[in-house]
Amino acid sequence: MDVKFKVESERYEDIEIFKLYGILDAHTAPTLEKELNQTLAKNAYKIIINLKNLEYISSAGLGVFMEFIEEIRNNNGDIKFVEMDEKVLSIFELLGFHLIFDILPSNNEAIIYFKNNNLRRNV
Amino acid sequence: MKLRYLFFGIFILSIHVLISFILYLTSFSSNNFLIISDFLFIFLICFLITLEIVDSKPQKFTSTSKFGEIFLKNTKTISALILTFLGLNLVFYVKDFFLSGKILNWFENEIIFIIMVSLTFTFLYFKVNWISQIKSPKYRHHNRVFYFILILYSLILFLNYFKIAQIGNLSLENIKFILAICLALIFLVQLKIKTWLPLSPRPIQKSILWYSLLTMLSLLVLLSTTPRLQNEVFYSKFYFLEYANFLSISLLITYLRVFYVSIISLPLSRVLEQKVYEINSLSYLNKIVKNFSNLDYIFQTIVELSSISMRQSFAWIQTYNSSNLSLQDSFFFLNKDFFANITNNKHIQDIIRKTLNPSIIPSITDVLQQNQLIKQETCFESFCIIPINFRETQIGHLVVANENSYFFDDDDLNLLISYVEALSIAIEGNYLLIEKIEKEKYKKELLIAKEIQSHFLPKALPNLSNFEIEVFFKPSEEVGGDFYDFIPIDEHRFLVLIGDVSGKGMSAALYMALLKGIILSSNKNPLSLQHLFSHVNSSLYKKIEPQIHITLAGLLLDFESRKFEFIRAGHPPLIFKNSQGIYELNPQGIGISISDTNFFERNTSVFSNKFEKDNFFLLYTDGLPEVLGRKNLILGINKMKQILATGPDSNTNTDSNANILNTHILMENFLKEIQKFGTEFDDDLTLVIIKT
Repeated sequence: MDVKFKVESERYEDIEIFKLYGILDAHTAPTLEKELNQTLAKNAYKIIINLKNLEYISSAGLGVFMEFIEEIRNNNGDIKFVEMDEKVLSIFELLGFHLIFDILPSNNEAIIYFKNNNLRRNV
Repeated sequence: MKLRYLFFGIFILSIHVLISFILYLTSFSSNNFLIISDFLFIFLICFLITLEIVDSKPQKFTSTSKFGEIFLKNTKTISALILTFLGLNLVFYVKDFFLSGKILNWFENEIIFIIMVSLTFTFLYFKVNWISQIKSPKYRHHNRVFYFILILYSLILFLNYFKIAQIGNLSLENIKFILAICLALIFLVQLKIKTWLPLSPRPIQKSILWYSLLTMLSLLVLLSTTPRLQNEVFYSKFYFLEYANFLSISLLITYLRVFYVSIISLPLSRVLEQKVYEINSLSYLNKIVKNFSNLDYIFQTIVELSSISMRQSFAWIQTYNSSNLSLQDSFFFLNKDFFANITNNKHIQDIIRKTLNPSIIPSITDVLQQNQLIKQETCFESFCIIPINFRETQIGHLVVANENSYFFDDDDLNLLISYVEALSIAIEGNYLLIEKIEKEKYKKELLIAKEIQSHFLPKALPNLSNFEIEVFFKPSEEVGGDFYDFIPIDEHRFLVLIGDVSGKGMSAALYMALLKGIILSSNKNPLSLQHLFSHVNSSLYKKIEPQIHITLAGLLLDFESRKFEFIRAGHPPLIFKNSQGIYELNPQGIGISISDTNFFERNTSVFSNKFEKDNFFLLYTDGLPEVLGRKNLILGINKMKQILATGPDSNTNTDSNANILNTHILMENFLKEIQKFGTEFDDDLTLVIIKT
């Protein structure tokens, strides 16, 4: 079976960077859910999601971020999305996710955002 | 044996006896007449035997145990005859010792003679019985050789009378011995002792062992005693004496073999009987496990079989509460008297419940002593414990216990394991049956849910003169999370709602029902789309799981002012076609239940515009553009616009009416496109087409 979805994570100081590959939908969402759960268990709440290699995201995939964002933001953390392509961005915009999440060009910008403590609040 | 032959034989015999008696009285010396009558007698007896052989019908032996029985019966007859003969011989010797009178001597000869004839007859009959029931062509040659040897020996005996039975250096004795061995060999090959003797029931085997020993010994005595025929004038008596002697040699060899085989097979027969029981019990189990709806009966049967096959040990099955199966904490046992002893014995229960693999406890006292526990009063010493597993969870134990220590061996354990394996099959079957019933129930529930959900959607399209509506709705499962509604507000205002709950199936359908309820409960008069959507959002925010979100779009048509309002909460854009072109209307909006009322209201705006006659509105859920654009929403929306732009199918352009695009034709065009991607989709599909 070919892998439809893959998560790679790396750590930069206190920031966890996830690189997503493939298709994030109802079938693959549990993989990401597991990863995020493990990260939160380590009390790491500064998270960058790199979507450079994400081909498709469904509404169930978006649901994963909604599931965790409240807890993350309550713990002085945030999720920043970087390197999002137009296709995925259109889905974000449709649901209004661009209004509640920071969508940034690259990892560096996101790191600067975190360093400057530029976090969003729960809405 | 046919009685008529017997009577006939006795008749001939009595004539013979009469003649010899007269001869004895008249002290006749031998002459030609006597010799001829004697040979005639031999021929008659031989003729009778042949008749008997030819006439004997094959007996049908079906089972191996029958084989043993027949063999035993014949052996008994033979040994009885030989013993009678030996007994009489003894009596004659004793008589000779005390009185040396000659008055009864000729009776002696006659009696010995009769017994010899009977012996010959019985043995031949016995042999023929075996021959006739072996139908295999392989043995036909053996039979021919067998008869040939008999005839050959008869001839040699005849020749002996004329003192010419000397072939080379071989004397009559040597020839007799060689032929007897040949005869015995043939008989042995046909008897196939090894196939039926070890399989015969133990009592029969035992009897065969003793009788063959007895026959052997008496045959040895018979062969070692010189035939007592004194002053006999008739050759026929020597003839049959020799014949019986000849057959005795081959009989001796045969019985030697039977004795040998039964000595070897007798100790094995216990094991064999055990194995036969095991096979029978397993095949019986295989039969009953198919009836897995009755688990209790299967438990009970296995307990019974275990008890019997473990040489009447005490057996029981204890089961534990299991969520998967309808099993309770309970015991299946045979004897209630011992029962309390086991359930109340905490130490033993502890040991049983901790057993994860099939194991034997040879002595419970040792185990308890090792753990420094004092033995409670139990009557059992050794245990065989086999856990019963179902899908990696322990659901029970089969326990067999005996009062003797070191009672069970590995074979016992293996047999009990196979019982438990059969039981596992039954449990699995039982589980699947329950599961199937549950599934059927669930399917029924699902159909009911589908029926209920269909009530949430408009039953019929509103039949309005000023516009046309066409709907396509296809949930990917029985029930779905897509939603649409047509709500006439007043005489000239009409609201179309379309929504999509993330996910699919039952959970989505339940949220969809909730959404419908909230919309129904909201105050629609005076209607403001902003207020309606804000109400929906605040009703659902923080009330549903964060990963679930709902998109909703509303189109309000006002036929008086000919204006429309469009609002979308995270929903895909409205596609609008008027005389100038096709537009994708995408006012700002955020999905339902993502943010609080304030944020929602700030970020959700209403688009409003004029519409004219023959304008088109396309409302849909994201399933549709995702199918058409192969998971690419932008491509999918472009494709939809393309279909809308194409107009009526150019092939059916002959009719002038068809030139005008109506909702019906447009829907057909859409369906044609959708069908290119199959009939089963990952997501629910909904499309609402409105033409003013």
